[in-house]
Amino acid sequence: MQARNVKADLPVKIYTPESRLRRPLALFDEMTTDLLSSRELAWQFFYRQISSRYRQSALGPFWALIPPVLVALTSTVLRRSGVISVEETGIPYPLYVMFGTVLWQLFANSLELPLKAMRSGIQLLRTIRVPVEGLLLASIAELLFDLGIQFGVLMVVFALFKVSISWGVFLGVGAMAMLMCLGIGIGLFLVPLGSLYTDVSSALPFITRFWFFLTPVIYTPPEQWPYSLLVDLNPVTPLLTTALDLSLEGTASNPTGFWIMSAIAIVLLLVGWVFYRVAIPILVER
Amino acid sequence: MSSDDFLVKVEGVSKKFCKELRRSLRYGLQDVASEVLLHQEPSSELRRQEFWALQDVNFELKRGESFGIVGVNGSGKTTLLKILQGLLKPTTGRVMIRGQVGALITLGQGFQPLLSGRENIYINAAILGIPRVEVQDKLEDILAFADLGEFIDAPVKNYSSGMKGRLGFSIATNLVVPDVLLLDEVMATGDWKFKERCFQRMEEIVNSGATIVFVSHLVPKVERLCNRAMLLHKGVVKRVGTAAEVCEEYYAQPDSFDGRGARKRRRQFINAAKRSPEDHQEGMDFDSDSYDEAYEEETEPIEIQNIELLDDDHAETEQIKTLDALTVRVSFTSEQPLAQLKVVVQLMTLGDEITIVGFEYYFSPEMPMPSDGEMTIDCRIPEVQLREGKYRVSVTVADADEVKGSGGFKASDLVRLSVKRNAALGVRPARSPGMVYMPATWEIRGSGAVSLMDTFGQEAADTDSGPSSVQPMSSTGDRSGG
Repeated sequence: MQARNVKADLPVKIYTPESRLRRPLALFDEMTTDLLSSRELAWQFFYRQISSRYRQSALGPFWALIPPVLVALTSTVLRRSGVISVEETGIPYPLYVMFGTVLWQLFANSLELPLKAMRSGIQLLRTIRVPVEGLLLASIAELLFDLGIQFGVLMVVFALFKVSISWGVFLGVGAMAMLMCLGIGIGLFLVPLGSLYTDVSSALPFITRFWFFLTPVIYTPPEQWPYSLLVDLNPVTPLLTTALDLSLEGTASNPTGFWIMSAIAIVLLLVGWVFYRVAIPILVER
Repeated sequence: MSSDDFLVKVEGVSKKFCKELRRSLRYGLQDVASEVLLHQEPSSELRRQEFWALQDVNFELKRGESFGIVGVNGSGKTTLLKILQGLLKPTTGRVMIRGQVGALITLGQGFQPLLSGRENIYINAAILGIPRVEVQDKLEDILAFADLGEFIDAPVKNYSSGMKGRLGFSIATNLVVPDVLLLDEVMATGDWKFKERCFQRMEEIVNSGATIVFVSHLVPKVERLCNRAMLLHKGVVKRVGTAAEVCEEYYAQPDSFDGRGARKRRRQFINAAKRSPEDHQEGMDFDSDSYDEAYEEETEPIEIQNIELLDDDHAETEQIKTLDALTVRVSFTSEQPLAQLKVVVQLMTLGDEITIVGFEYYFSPEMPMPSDGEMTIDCRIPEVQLREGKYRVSVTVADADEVKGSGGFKASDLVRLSVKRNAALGVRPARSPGMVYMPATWEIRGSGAVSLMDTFGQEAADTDSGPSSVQPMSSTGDRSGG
């Protein structure tokens, strides 16, 4: 009798060819359980990633600092020589650029994250049934780890320059989270094409570099038409400038834009997640 | 018996694949699109360059069954396993699996080379979905089974493939207690000691009541481990039945293998090697150098012209029955005097080339070479004591004083031999018939009665062969004691 009860409790899995989106409730249920159950997996992947990354590196975590420092140096030189003209930034210009670059990198890395996670995990996905969310969570944790280091050093640099950071930085964290949502949300949609064709991952660095110059990081947002259009149409701008403004000044200059983009980012992330989830089994067999 | 008793149910499962990469990628995108657009099911018609890797597979497995899937490479075994695992979506049909599924398909998957073995245990456990606390409880068992000693704290990149396999198998079988265990040929790595332990462990898992699906082209293993089996050929189910029946059917399949073709290819290779000796200057080991020397001249010192298998009526055959007579007729040419030669005939297993028996003949010094230079010699085996199965007859003509690796001249070749069940012996297909037919007698002691029972003939059908199924003395004692 007892054996029968145990048997009745056994989880049942059914695999059929029909689209999983036809049973949205079952899919949603599966997604949330997988997300919860993949925490341990994500932690182990994160640990594996971080520890093997730094085991063969002398500079270790300081590598995360190289890009913002380099961008800050070059843009300072460019500004001094008059190649780019920037209005007053409130805080020393190199610091402004460094902070902005860290935020930009957060977005750019988020954009590449789903594809990278997929590529690093594809061998595993081909042989073992693992929740794909684990791969994503691990990569997000890795991203946050790098961000933490960058922030730690930024704080030290800001202190050295005797520049105070506004309490708004705690609000700014929310804006940064939205920046990540947007990046990952878009990135999730790139996975099907990107995991089949290498062209996507080859093109991504160029696209992000180009995008970088369309985003007010090394310059302040232009207010003159038509240049302002460039910045206004750029979905990253409201999120990035809000994060900057909140952290440095404690106020947001464009709250409407921020809220609209945040809503879009969250929707993109959720829809992208479903899309990613549904696409993975098809991609794995190719 | 209700349908609840089935742990695995596969109904009408088919799967198609694409042969060409670029097209396959494009189809992949199409499939994603149709998935998002809520298509009911993918079209069951083949697009260009597509083929059926599996077609209409049906079977059901109850708790405690062990089911073998046999077939040659490329018959769709692994695809089926991946569908059962949920890695691949079936193109048509339905798969239901009840309970915890464990899969041993690739060992050591997900090992991180820079981390130590111990750290990798935790990572692998996480991949299998096992919480850290549970791993700590079972750590001792895992370490004991893997038996890596102090190397457990060394980085995995320094492990040999056998060590990785040991660790992977240990993790997979000690951490999970599956209801359904999917096994691919994971025992391919590791030394014989480890293989033996793997089999023991697998039998423990079967005995614990798990349902096992075991995929292999090594038929003896399937016979040993499974009670039911399925034969797949080019994606189509040829037969489902008891393991013994299916394995027999597997042996009865026509071969695509052609020993003569292989010989031809080898000769072409040798000729090619002769034409361009400079290509072979580097990267060649000692053996190959001497090989080249041996074949410097147009004609080879020894050449096997033909191998024929003859039955007792002197008719050429590739197929005999257990206990039939077999004559192996070897024709060869030699530039060496016969006195220096030996002929070796060996019967070997097909998969792992184990010599079951070998016969050697040394020519006497007086023996003259026939005028046309071609010698024919028969090796007659009056009773081939092999059970049904496929074997290989290997013939070597070599320097009688040849020491291995000394570069003496030799030629070898092989043909296939298939042995059928001898109905006259009345041996029913047993679960593990083994390779060799050997008469045995049973002697029953106890309750004062001593009698002899002959299992040479019909009686063998009543007692199962194989060491695992030897009956306890008392249970057979009643039957023959009176």
